[in-house]
Amino acid sequence: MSDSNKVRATDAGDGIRLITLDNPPVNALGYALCAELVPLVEAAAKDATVNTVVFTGANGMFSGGADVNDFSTPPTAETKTVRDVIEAMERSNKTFVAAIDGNALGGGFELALACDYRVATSKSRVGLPEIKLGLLPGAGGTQRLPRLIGANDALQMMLKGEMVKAPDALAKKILDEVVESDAVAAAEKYAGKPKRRISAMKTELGVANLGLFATPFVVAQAHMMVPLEENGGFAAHKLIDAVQAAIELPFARGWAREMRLFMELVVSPQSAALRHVFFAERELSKVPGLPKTEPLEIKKAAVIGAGTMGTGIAIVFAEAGIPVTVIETKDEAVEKSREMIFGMFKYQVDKGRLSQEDAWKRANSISFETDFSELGDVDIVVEAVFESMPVKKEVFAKLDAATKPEAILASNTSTLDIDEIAAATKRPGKVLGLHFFAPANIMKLLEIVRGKETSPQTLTTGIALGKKLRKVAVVSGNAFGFIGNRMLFEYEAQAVQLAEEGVSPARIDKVMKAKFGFAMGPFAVADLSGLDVYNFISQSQHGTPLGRIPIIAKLVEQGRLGQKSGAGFFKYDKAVGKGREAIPDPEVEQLIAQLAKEAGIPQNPNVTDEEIIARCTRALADSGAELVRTGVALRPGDIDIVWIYGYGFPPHHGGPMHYAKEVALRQAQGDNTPKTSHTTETKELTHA
Amino acid sequence: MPEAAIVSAARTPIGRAFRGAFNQTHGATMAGHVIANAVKRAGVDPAEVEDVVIGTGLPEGATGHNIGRVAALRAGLPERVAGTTINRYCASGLQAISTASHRVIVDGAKVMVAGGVESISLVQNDMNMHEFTEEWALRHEPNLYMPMLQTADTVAKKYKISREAQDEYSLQSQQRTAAAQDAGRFDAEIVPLPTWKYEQDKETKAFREEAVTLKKDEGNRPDTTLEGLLSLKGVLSKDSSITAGNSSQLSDGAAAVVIMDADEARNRGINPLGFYRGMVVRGCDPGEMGIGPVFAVPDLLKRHGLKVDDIGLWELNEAFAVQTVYCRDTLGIPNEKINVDGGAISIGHPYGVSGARMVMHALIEGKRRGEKFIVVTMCIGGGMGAAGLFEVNLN
Repeated sequence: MSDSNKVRATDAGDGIRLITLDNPPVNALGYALCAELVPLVEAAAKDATVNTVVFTGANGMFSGGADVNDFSTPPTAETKTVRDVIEAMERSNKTFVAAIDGNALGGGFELALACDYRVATSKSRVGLPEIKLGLLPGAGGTQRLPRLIGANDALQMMLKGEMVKAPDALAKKILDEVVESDAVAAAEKYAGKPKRRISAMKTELGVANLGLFATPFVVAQAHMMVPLEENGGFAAHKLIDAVQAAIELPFARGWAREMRLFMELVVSPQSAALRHVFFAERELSKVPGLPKTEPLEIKKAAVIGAGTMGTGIAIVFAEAGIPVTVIETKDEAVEKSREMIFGMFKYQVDKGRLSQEDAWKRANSISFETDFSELGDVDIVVEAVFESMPVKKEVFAKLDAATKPEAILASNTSTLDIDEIAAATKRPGKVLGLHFFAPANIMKLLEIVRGKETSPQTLTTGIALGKKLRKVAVVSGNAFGFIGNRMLFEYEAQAVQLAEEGVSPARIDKVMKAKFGFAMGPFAVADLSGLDVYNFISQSQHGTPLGRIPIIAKLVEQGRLGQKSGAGFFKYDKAVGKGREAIPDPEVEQLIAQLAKEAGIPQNPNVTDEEIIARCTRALADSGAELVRTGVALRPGDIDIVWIYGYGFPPHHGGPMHYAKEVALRQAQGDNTPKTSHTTETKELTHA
Repeated sequence: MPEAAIVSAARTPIGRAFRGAFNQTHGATMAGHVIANAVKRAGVDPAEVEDVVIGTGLPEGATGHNIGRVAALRAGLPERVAGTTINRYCASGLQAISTASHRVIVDGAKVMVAGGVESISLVQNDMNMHEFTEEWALRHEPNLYMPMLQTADTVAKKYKISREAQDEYSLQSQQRTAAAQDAGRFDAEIVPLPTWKYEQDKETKAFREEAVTLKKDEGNRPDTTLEGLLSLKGVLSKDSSITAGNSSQLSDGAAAVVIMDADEARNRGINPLGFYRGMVVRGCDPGEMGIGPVFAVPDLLKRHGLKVDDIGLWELNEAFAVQTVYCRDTLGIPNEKINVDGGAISIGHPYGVSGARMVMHALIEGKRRGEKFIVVTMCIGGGMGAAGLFEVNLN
C-alpha cells in the first residue's frame, strides 16, 4: 500500500486496512497529514477487498489533535483538515474502528468519534481540550459527543476540557472496550461489524425528565455557569450554542453550525490571547545563548525555614518524589509545618486524588532537622527565611560550609540581590534564585533568578527542576523585584496614583477585578501581601515606585498592615467572608484625599472605568517593556506567563504585554476606545 | 378621549423563506431587533413602554412561547415591560396595532409597542399537527381547513378573474416595488439585521453557514415579464390560473411601531407619523377567504363617514393577485392608489408582519404624497377581511 511521510496504510488481512498516524511527536492532524489521509480513506472506501478500516497512532499516542499552528493559517479551498477526513469517512460505507493506545485529544478524539467503534488501552486518555485555547472542538466533537453520551455530560466534559482516562471513558460509553495492551488487535476483532455512525444517532439530554422546557433549562443553566462572554467566557458560550445545535438540529446542520462557531472563535481576541499563552509557555525553557549542558540530578533536597513558604516548598518537592529535609530550629514552627503537611495530604486523599499509601509515603519523605550538619548529602537547598539581606547572607555562608561542593544553593527571595547573596559563598556559580509564589504547593509560577555568576549548568538544572516540580518556570535576570514583583510595584503605584486623584480604592479594585478580570484588585493584593512588607521594601528602595508612595507608610504607622491586622487599604471583619472580604473604608479614602491635597495633586474623580483599566495595564506594560529592554526578562511572552500564573492576570487577555499589543493595534486601526472585551457582528444583534 | 399616535416604525428587510437571509434566524431575534430600533427611533425611554403586542400568523415553535414577551426582553427592554402575542393569521400585525391603540385609547397607556413577526422558515414545515382538526368543524365547516391556494382558485373561478388580469397585476406589483426600491422609498422603514444563514450545496447536499446583512427586501424580481408570468404552470392543476408568479411569497421578517398617547407625544415634541382611527373585521365563507376586504372596507368607511374617494392611499394585502384584483374592482379603488409600491407578491408575505408593514409604509408614503387618510386591508385565512383606517400626520 501507499507509504508516505505522516500516515501509513497497510493491509492487515481479513479485509482490514490499518491506517497508522505517524507524525511525531504527537501525531498532530495538521494540514499536511490530513492531505495524505483523505485519499487513503477514499481509496479504502473504493476498495472492494476492504470491509473495515482501523485507525491507530505511532509514537505512543493516538493523536494530540490539530496542529495549533494551523489556527493562525486560515485554510484555503485546497487545504485538508480533520473535517475533510471525517467527511470522507461519512461518505464511505466501510466500518471504522479507532485503536487508541495513548492520548486521543481534540481532533484526534474527534477522528475516533467519527469511527463506528472505539477501543483503547487502559493507560489511554480521551478528551476535547479546545476550550483551553478559547476554541471549541471544530471537527464534529460538539455534535458527536452529545449524541454518544448525552448533551449534559458532553457539555461538562467539553467545558472543562477534561481528559478522561480510558476506564472512565468506558463507563461513560465513550469507548466500546478497554484492553491492557495491543489496541490494534482488539480493534481488529470489530472487523465486519455493522456501521454505527454517531452522526445517525439522536442526542439525548442526559438529565432527569424536566418536562416541556428540559432543553432550554439545561442550555440556560450551562450559560449561567460559565463566565460572561467578556470575562473569558466567549468560547464557552459558543460551545454551549454548538451543543444546543446538537440537540435541536439534524446532524448535517449541526456540523455546519459547529464550523461557523469555530471560525468565529478562531478569529476572536480571547482565543488569540490564549493561543499566545500556549506558545509563550512552550518558549519558556529556551534561554538564548545558554550552552547546552546536562542538568544535575536532584535526588535529595533541603529547605531552610519551616514557615508557610518553606513548608509549601517542601510539599512541592515531596509531591515530585524528591525527599526533602526541612531545617527549622523552633519546635513551634515545626509543629505548625507538620500540621500543614498532614492537612494538605489528607485533603488530597479525601478528594480521591491520592491513595492513603502514597500520601503516607510522600508526607514521610519530608523530614525535619535543626542543624545544618544534616545537609551533607543534599543536591539542592532552597532557603526560605526572613526577607533580610544580613540574615540571608549568614544562612548562605553556613550552607556553603555544610553542603557538598556540587550542591546548588537557591534563595526564595522575592526582591533581594542574588549576586550579593551569592557573594557570601565560595560557589557563586552554584547559586540562583528560586522564587516560589505563596501558597507554593498551589501556585504554578516559579521565577528562576539567574545571577551574574550563575553557571549554565546551575541554570539548566533549575529549569529542569522546575519541570520536575510541575511548575511554570520563568527565567529572570537579577534585578530588584525580578519580573513579577518589579511590575507589581509599578502597577500598585499607578493604582495609588489613581486613588490620589480621587478614585476610591474600592472602585479601582472593582474595575480591575469584575470588569477587566483580575483575580483580585490591586489594593486587595496589597492588603493580602501585607503593607508592612511593602513599607519595608519601599524604605529600603527609594528609587522604586513604592518609595514614592507615602500613603503606605502612613497606613503602617496606624497599624493598618493589611488583611492580617484586620485593616489596610480596606477593612476586614472576621464575620464577613472569614475576614478575607475587603470592606471599603471611608477613613482611608479621607486619608488619601488629605495626602493628595497636601501634595497638591489635581483631582480627577470622573475618570472612566476604561481609563482605570488603560492606566493600570499600561503601567504594567511599560514596566515590562523596560524589563525586556534591560534583559531582565528574556521575552515579552515570559512576562505574560509570570502575570497569568503568578498574579491572576486574566488569561483571556493574554498577559500584560499581549494586551498592550492588542490595544496598540486597535488604536492603530483608529479604535480609541479601550475595550475590556471584543464585540462581534452577532453581538450587535443585542441592539442599542 | 385619548388619541393613539404612531410615532416610529422599524422593520427588517423581508427575507425569502427557506433559502433567504433569515432562514435560521429566530423569531425573537427578528422581533427584538425591530422593537429595539422602533423604541430608539421614538426617542422614548425603553422603561416607559407598558406592553409589547406582537402579531404572528403561526404562534408556535420559533414564534411561539408568547413571542411578544420573549421579543420584548430580547429587544433589551426592561423586565417590567410586558408582552403578548396576538393571532389573526394574515391580519395579525394590523390587529396588534389596533389592540395596542386600544390600550392607549381605552386603558390610558402612554407608550406601547405593536408589530408582527413571522418565521415561515423555522415554523411552517414543523408545525404541531397533532389532533389538529376538530371532527365537527372538519365535517361541517371543511373550508376552515381548505388550503389557501384552493381558496384562491375558487375566487378565480367563481368571480371569473382571468389569468391575464392576475399576471398583469403581478407584473405591476413587481415593477412598482422595483421602482420604489430604486427611489429608496422603503429605506425609512428598514433596519438591516446582520445574521447567519445556511446554504446547502446542490451537489454534495452539505450545509454551510454564512454571515449576511440583508439591506433590502430580497423577494422581488425586477426583471419579471408578462410572458414569463404567463408561461408559469398552475400550482394546483393545469387549468388553474393560480401560479407561483401571481401568489404572495413565503417570507420571514419582523416589523414594529411605537404607539403613544398623542398628547403625551405632543408634549414631548415628538412628531407622529400618523394616528389610528379604527378597524373593522368581518367574516365570510372560509372557502373564498380572499374576498374578505369587500365586507370589511364598506363598514369601516361607513363608520367613519368616508367614501372610497376620500381615501388617498390603499394597502390591500396581495395574498393572491386574484383576490387583490377582485377586491380592488369590487370596491372601486383606483389602480393608481392601491399598493403603489407593490405588495406581498413582489415584496413577500411574512403573514403576521404584513399588516404592520403595510401600515408603516402607507403612513410614510401617504405623507410623501400629502394624503390624509389611508386604509390597510387584507383577507384572512378562515374567511375574514380586516380593514384599518389611519390618518397621516401631514404636519
